[in-house]
Amino acid sequence: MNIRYIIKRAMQSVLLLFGVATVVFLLLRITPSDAALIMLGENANPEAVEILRESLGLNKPLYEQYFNYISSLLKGDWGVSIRSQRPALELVAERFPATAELAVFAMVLALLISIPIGIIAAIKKDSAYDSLSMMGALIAQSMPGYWLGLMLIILFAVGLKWLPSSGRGGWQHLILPGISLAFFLIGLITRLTRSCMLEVLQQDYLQTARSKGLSERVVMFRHALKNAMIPVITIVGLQVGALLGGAVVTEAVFAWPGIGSLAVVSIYQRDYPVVQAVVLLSAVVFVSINFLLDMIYQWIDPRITYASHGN
Amino acid sequence: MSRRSLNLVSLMLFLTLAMSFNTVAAQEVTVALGTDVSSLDPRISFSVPGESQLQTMYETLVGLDGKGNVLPKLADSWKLQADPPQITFKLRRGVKYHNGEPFDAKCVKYTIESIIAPDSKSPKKSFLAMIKEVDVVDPYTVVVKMNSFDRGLLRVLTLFPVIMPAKASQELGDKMSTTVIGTGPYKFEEYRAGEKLVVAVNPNYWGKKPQIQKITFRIIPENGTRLVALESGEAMMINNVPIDQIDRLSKLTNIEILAAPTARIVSLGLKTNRKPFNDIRVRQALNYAINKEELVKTILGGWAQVANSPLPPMCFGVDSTMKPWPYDPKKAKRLLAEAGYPNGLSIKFGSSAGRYLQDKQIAEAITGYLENIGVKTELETPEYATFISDVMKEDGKYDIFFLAWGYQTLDPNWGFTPLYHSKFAVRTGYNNPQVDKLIEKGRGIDNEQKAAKIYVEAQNIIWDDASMVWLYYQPDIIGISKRFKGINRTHGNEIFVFNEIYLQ
Repeated sequence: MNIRYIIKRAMQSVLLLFGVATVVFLLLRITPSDAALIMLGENANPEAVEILRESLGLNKPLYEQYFNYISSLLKGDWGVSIRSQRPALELVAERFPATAELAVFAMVLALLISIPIGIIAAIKKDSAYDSLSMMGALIAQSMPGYWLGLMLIILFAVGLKWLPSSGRGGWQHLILPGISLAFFLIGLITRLTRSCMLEVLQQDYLQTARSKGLSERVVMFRHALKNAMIPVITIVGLQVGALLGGAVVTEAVFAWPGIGSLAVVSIYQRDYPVVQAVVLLSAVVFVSINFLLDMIYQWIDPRITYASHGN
Repeated sequence: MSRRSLNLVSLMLFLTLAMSFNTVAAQEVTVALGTDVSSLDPRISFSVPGESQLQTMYETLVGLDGKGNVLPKLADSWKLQADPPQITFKLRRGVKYHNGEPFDAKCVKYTIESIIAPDSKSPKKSFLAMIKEVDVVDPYTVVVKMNSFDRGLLRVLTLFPVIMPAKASQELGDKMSTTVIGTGPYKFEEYRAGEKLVVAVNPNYWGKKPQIQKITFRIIPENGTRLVALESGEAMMINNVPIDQIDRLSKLTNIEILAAPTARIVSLGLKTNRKPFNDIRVRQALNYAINKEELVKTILGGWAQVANSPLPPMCFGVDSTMKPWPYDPKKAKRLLAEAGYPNGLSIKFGSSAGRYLQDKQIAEAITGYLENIGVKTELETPEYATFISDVMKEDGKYDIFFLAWGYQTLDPNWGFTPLYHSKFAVRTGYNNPQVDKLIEKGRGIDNEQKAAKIYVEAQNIIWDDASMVWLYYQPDIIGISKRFKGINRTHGNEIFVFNEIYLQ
């Protein structure tokens, strides 16, 4: 493995994270209102708001707040939640397992369904199977998450009473939100698998392999599939990264206590440190996944380097 | 086994396993609420549904009964003095915290002083600003000294603070935000932020022991999902039932809707410090322009009472002889013409959306009434934080705005000072020296009956001044299982009391 390449990618990642931290810091500060006002909100009198603002350090000049923020981050201090006075990272870490659980379940479910369907659709191109599965995939990808979630709840929780309607608990609680989240992924990955497979199936090297006497099975699995999966792995990796940032809509509909719903509440209450922590953590996860993907490519096909990857 | 019967068996197995999540032990109850506590430390938490949860485990010195009278809780009796300005409390004996620590005067001193300390970050600090210090006379006598006499303090103490254990709080420090050691009928069992709070009965409670052994508070912010939890039996009580669901829910045989009036008055705030609302005729015009009966009937399903005073009927000092502003669009148009707007005018209207019951829908209906009298209204409904930050500006862009004010202590001063005293009324810029004087006078009178006379005078001036457009008193609507009995409310009916709930 190319050490220089690894170091270069690592440094780029750090720079990217720094950029993310800065952007989220600024975005939060330019939206109107602040935590002090929310906390005192209705019954507030302006004097009280000012006093609270002062004690929370919200009145400090922007550059000073930014400097404190970055220097604390470098020391590993992700700040303190204004709303609960607890360390922001603790709050995020508390709820991250819930998001991860849902993300992994949804992704595994999606992969188990999409990849076989996509491969077969590619092999049976233009058949009825192909058209039906592609239509199904398109519908699945286009379905609005909020509506789908509510429909699942009405059918399975209220109507049939087979499953709980919301919240996190045993494996039964994972099913409806997991399916809801997986729908979009199934649509996306099925279509992607099919088109990647199709492209590979046309390649000359497959014909070469066949003429060498290799069985169709070996041709398909060892050669075609392996190459077709490269773009799929990219997209799947990016989707996992996005999911680990918190599926906000699904978490809202199913009252799933993940970091998505944490972020939403924190934004409404202008709890800057928590929003910053969620976004930054998601960015770290995302960047790490990307990094990992790059290493996997190198392993799958050593010919792929940063340059030829084209990104 | 044939394939088909194997599938059938698997399906049945699956269903049996699936249904095992739904077993509920006999004396345990799940309540689904829309908002969480922001912290288990009651000095930091600031959400109203959060108070309902915390007050199963923590208690205040004094409480409010169903009629709005102050009653003993952790304090047995009290004496108010105007000079020196202070309240002396005699504390209940034999009360222990959940960890065995005894409740005494030191705990009261610790709790209050930790909130008013100069470096305190408690959102409750400003409401206790009239307190100078707390003196311990003996273990069961404590004196709360004020800077200057403020009659409202006793009633504020019915709301907060709940009294925390001095020794344990000092030992645990920050950990008090993730654990609870109180004196209440329930004690802390489990807390998962944003997800649930579980409390179990306190066998050593000083008062009447509750019948329900365990309460699980589940947090479900989405209205639809919360409703489903009630319908499917996963929760036996939910708060904030949307009005448009009431008809459907009341038809279900196992569910009941309980509505109660609250001490929260919904009105339109007006920027009275600038055109056009610096002219009393324009303000009066708006009060005549809105058909409040129709508004309440169509949008709130008749579940609210039209406002006939700036004070909710539960407050002491309310003048019940007052009548609502009548619906008279012709008079409204005439007043506008007199004020120099014969061809109407244009204004900006701001409202929250989803924070208060039907707030957006009410706002939209109001624009209809206003257009009817020639007032072109541009309505905006930004997200709450953005909305409130504009409202709090004296020069904010909204000429009129949705304003809901809860008089939880049932003392008129709780709203009058921040809303109608010129020094504090930034939202509206209202300035009436006569009203200022009455408010200042009323605050300093220790006898509520005597103070009531002042407030009757003040509210009539405020009303005749048309300083706002008062609409209705907001109802609080919960949905419960028909088996769920004994739920009480307090503090203008916005805080729930779970001490006496039982299952039939």
